[in-house]
Amino acid sequence: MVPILIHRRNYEEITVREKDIVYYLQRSNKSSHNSSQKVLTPDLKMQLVRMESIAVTLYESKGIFKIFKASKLPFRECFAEAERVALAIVTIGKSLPLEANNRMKSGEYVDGVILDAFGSAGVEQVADQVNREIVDIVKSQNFEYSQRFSPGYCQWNVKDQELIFQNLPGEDIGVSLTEGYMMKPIKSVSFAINIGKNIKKSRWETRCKSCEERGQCTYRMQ
Amino acid sequence: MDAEEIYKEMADSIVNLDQEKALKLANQALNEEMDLLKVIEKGFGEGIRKVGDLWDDGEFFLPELMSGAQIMEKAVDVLTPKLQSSGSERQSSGKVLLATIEGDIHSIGKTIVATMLRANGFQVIDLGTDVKAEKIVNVAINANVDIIGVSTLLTTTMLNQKKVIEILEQKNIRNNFKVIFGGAPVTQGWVDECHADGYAENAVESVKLAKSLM
Repeated sequence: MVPILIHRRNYEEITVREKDIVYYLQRSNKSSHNSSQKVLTPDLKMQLVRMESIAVTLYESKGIFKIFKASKLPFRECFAEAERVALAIVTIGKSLPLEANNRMKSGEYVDGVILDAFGSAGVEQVADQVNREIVDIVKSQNFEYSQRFSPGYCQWNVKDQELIFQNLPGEDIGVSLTEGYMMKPIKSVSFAINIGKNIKKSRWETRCKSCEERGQCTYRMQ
Repeated sequence: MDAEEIYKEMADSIVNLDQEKALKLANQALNEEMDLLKVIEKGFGEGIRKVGDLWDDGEFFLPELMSGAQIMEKAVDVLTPKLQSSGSERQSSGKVLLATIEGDIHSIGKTIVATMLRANGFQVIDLGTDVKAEKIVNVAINANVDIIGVSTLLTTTMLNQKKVIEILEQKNIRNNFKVIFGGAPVTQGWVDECHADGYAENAVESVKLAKSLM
């Protein structure tokens, strides 16, 4: 089956699409997403381009993952149907969030919120890349796999951030966990992917379709 | 052009995110010795309220909302020295203390709320992030604020929001303050459980909530 090794590397090429940034910059609420949002003005497009040129110099993107035998991890309902579980941590580092905060503090609110959006979209891009690497390994072994899901979402207790950090050396990529189970730097993501012969029949992660937070959730189902 | 027309131009300059025009009109107001309190309330203030509505309706993106607030702030900065020297003060909508609760280091959302509250005439004390409930209460007492706003992003740190209300109750001063919550995990159910006074999903909603509580 899949190699049980820790994979870690830097991700230098982060490409954030305009629609990903727009997602973070548009109004949303907990019950719905406004799909009829107006288009970006030329001025705003120019500001996005300007801030992207800054964001790309601030990304310090890193990721780490490992595929575990499910039996080697503490039992969790979300892992119940998995034979293997991939655990991952990714980050864009601390420089971009720091710069976004500094801009907000100095009254450059527009720049601050756009940079922050590039941070959110950027870290999801790193998560996508790591996700693809895991899937490539799993597919080559003819196993099925779930979508990625994170502590705090899909009814997986946020306190299980600890489970991930106990099994993966987050410090190797500069990510640590606070007492409140929050990752530092803040633009970091941790997640799991279930792997097995019949994963697609169970689909733990799609149960968030019925979750009241789905309008707000990063991992919402379409 | 009469005063009402100038107020409308001022409001439009904020809605059109036209900083150059807004600053020009602010200077015009000084030169023509207009009533600066009315300039802020009926002119630029009306503009930022419209900007908030446009955000609320999904017509504006977040940077446009913030741009409106940024221009409003700069226009008010032009007027402030004259206002102060004349002994006038912009009528405060109320005094708000904001903090991200202990254990939480997220600040951008709270800063956006602070900016929109200021743009709408509130005095804001921003204590920053990872602030203990005890400190929030102490500063609220000493600064005699009207509203305490406590933000958090995770369900784990959300518990500390409740602590603020518990301390106020222990000190028998709960009724001296309105307490509002913010942050992704906060729901009306949590507000009810904590006996808080309300919560807002975004910065524009928080302004509406704060105004309704004053």
